Order: sequence, then C-alpha cells, then structure tokens
Amino acid sequence: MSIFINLAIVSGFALNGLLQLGLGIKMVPAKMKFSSLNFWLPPLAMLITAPLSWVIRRYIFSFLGFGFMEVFLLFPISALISLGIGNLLAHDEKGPSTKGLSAYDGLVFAVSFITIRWALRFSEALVIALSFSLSYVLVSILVTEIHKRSVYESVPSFLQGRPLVLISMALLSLVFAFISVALLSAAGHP
Amino acid sequence: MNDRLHADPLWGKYSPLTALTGVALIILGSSRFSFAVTVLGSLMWVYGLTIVTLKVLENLLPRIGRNGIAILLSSLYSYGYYYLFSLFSPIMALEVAFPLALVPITFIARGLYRQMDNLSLSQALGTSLYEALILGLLLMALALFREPFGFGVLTIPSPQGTFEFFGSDLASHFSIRLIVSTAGGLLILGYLVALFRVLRNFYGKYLAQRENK
Repeated sequence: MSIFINLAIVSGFALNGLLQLGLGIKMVPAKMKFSSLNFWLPPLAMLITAPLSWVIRRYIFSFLGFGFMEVFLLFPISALISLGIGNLLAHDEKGPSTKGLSAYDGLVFAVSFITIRWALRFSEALVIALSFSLSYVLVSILVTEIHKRSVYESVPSFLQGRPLVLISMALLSLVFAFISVALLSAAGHP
Repeated sequence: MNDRLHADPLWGKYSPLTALTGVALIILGSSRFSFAVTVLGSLMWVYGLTIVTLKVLENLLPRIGRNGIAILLSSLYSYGYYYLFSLFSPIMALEVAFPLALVPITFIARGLYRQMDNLSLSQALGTSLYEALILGLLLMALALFREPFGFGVLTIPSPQGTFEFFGSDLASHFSIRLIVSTAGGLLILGYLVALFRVLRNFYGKYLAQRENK
C-alpha cells in the first residue's frame, strides 16, 4: 500500500517537474500515435536509465569518490543509454539513429538526476523511474490535446502551437503544484 | 530572402526562440541575474572549447563515434567550468549546478558541431560563440525582468554567494513571486515566443521589401 502512496506522491512531483521545466516539450508531437514506437522511446529510456544511473552512482561513483562530477557525468550516461535504446528499437536503414542523442532534450538526464538524489534503495529508484515515465505519458496526452485545441479554437496565429503549449503548461504546472502539496499533506508530511 | 532569414542565428530556424532548444535552461537560468551571468560564461566556455577541440581533432576522430565524443567533451568542459567557478564562489556554484549541467545538453540538442564540416576553425569558433552569446543574452534579458519584479532585487555572482543591488524591503514586499517561479518562466517564455513570431514576420517583410527595391 505504501508503495502506491509513494507512487502517487512522486507522480505528482514528476508531473509537476516535467511540466514546469518544459523538459521534453519538443519530443511531444502535434499528432500523437500511441502505436508509434517513437512515442514510447523517451519513457522507456527513463525507465531503464534512472535505476541504472542509481546503481552506477551507488556502486561506482561513490566508490571512486567522484563527488559533484557525477552530475556532469549523468548526461553522457543518459545520452548513451538513450542512444542505444533508440538504435536498438528504432533502427534506421540509412545508418545509426541519432534519436536520444540529447537524452530526449535533457528529459532522461533530469529524471536520472532526481532519482539519484531521492532514492535511498533500488526499489525506490524503480518507483521514481516508473512514475516519471507514466507522468511523461500523461503530460504528452495533455500537450497533444492542447495542440489539437489550438487548431480548432479561434486562437491568434502567433499564439498557435508552441507559445500556447508553453502558456498552458505554465497554468497546468500551477495546478499540479497544488496537487503535490495536497498529496504530501494527505500523507502526513508538514 | 527566406534562406537568409532562416540561416540567421538570431531570427532563423535555429534561434533559441524558434527551435526552443533548451527551454529548461532558459527557464532555470533566467530566474536570477547572477544565474544568467554564470550560465552565459558556461555557454561561451562549453560551446567555444568543444567546437575548437572537435575542429582541431577533426581528422583524428572517428566519424562514427563523433556524437559520443561531443557529448563527453561538452560534459567535461562543463564540469571544468563548474569546478573553476566553485573556486570563485562555492555557495553560488552549488545553487547553479543544475542549470550548468543543462548547458552541454543544449549544445548537443542544437547540433551545431554537426554543421561545422565546411567551416574553418575561426569561422566555426565565431559561429558557436555568436550562438552562445545570443542564448546567454536572452537569459540575461529575461533575468533583468524576472529578478527585479519577482524578488525586488538584482544580484551578481560574488565570492560570498551573490551581491545584491537595489534591494529594499519595500521592493521585496511588492514583488510578484510567480514571475520567478518556473511556472512564471514558462508563461513569460510563451508570450515572448509569440512576440518573437510577430517581430520575425515584420523583419521578413522588411527584408523582402528591401530586396524588391
């Protein structure tokens, strides 16, 4: 039961973090296809990279005493794993795929960064990674719906597309900030 | 005219407000002016040194692993900057560590190093520094608005953390905290992108008229 409460709390944070930082906003297409493999690559990369980063940090970085350098080494690790997953699953006949080169616009890096900061045990790292991945899917649905609405509704042309997405994400992030606080209060945190 | 406009680092398709590369860096790095100054230094350092290293070692590096080398180099240079900065201002370095870690991500996401094949070393360095400067100045311009209105103060990095200008209790009392929050950053960025589109449209029309004359 406690794992589900934690999942709910972390999901609130994760969703809020993704919305607030605008990370991965470029990854969400205007027309989303759930059946498309490209849609599932970022959450899959998050799900694999974050727990793996936790293991690398716990058993290699701390052993070698890397200190703050680990933050800056997280990006190469996230990018290489994302690139590997991209090449493995979405193999392009033209040559090696560059999907995931920027760790999906820093999204996978940020998730790994938060995971190694928050998780004390491997199971916690898994829960955080899972909640971030699920949150990404939810954020993608919201962003795609905003994209769609901006086409149908009478929105000024200069606001259509990304400006409207950014503004809507800002308003949504405020809502989810309150949800996170409410979840924390419900769980008994001050 | 369209090609000229598209290739322009300030107005073109790779401009920070068109491509929206590094939204997170723009939002986090512009919350305080001291952050923006620090990130500007990091952008110039990382963009410049990575491009120079990649250009100098162009013939020695294998083409197939070039992306991986660019990722490693930019991350190491970013850490180098962080280390040097932490010697100057250890407290500030701790605060700005996450935005600084986003600099190599922005560099790789922009993909500048993949467009440098036909350029000389000085041209490549000039282009990369110009792009870094544009992004850095955008951060500083946003910070000049966000920090005074959000915190009622203006800060610059100092060995003790930050040095405050124009701070007063009254300014702090009337400040609007939403502006410095990340949600406020997204809101401002959204309206700024819309304004940029309008200005870009006017600039495109102006260029077309000038060419017709």
